[in-house]
Amino acid sequence: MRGDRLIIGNEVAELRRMSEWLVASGLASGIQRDVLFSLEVCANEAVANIISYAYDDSKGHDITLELNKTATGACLIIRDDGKPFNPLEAPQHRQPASVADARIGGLGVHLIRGLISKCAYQRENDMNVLCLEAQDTTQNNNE
Amino acid sequence: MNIETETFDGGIFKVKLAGRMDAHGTEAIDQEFMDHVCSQRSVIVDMNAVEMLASVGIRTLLLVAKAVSRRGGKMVLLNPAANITRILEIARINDLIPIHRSLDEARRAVSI
Repeated sequence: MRGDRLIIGNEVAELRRMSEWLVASGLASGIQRDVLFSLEVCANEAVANIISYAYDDSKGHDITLELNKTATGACLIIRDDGKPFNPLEAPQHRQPASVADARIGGLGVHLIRGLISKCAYQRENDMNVLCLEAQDTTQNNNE
Repeated sequence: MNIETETFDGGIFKVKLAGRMDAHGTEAIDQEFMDHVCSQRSVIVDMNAVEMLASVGIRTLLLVAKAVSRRGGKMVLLNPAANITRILEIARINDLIPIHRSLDEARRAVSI
């Protein structure tokens, strides 16, 4: 079954519309708020990266989001027609010793890794397809 | 996003951030936040009314903390909500900018 879909343009101004859709669509499907919060942060990170780095031209591009409820949480699929980029291959974040040593930036993929239970990347018909799956952590307390 | 400030005895300066620290929200307060804090040495950032935190917001927290640190000052975060605390912990920001749960504790921590 196909989930609820949204198409946005490759502009930072679209991120708010994306967040609003994600939460409204998720709540309407009965997805837990915690799961939606994790996916919302990850979607902001992944799509902000696409907008900033995926395109060499200045044309408008469509980025498609699809939200599906799963047995344990939800799955968000993000599709873009930008340059091939697998965020799972991005280098691991290195923790600085102090605020003074902290480098600015590079935390987006680290947040995605920390918030998501399963992440998969595919290049499909010249599109990047990123699947992010978040679980309801309140269901895992006894594991 | 909104910013409110309050000054306490001992030169302690509190900045209360409210709203969504995503790209749009952070851009709206970035400069004002830095302007408020750049001359301070004891800074408490009240995070309780922050509803969303993306890496762009963490970037701003780090830039402000760096500015305070360069002046030999201290900065702490006050009482973020559970979901915001989780983001801060995943990013390990709590190891760099300590999180305190009460205003008294935070005031003690930034006293110089």
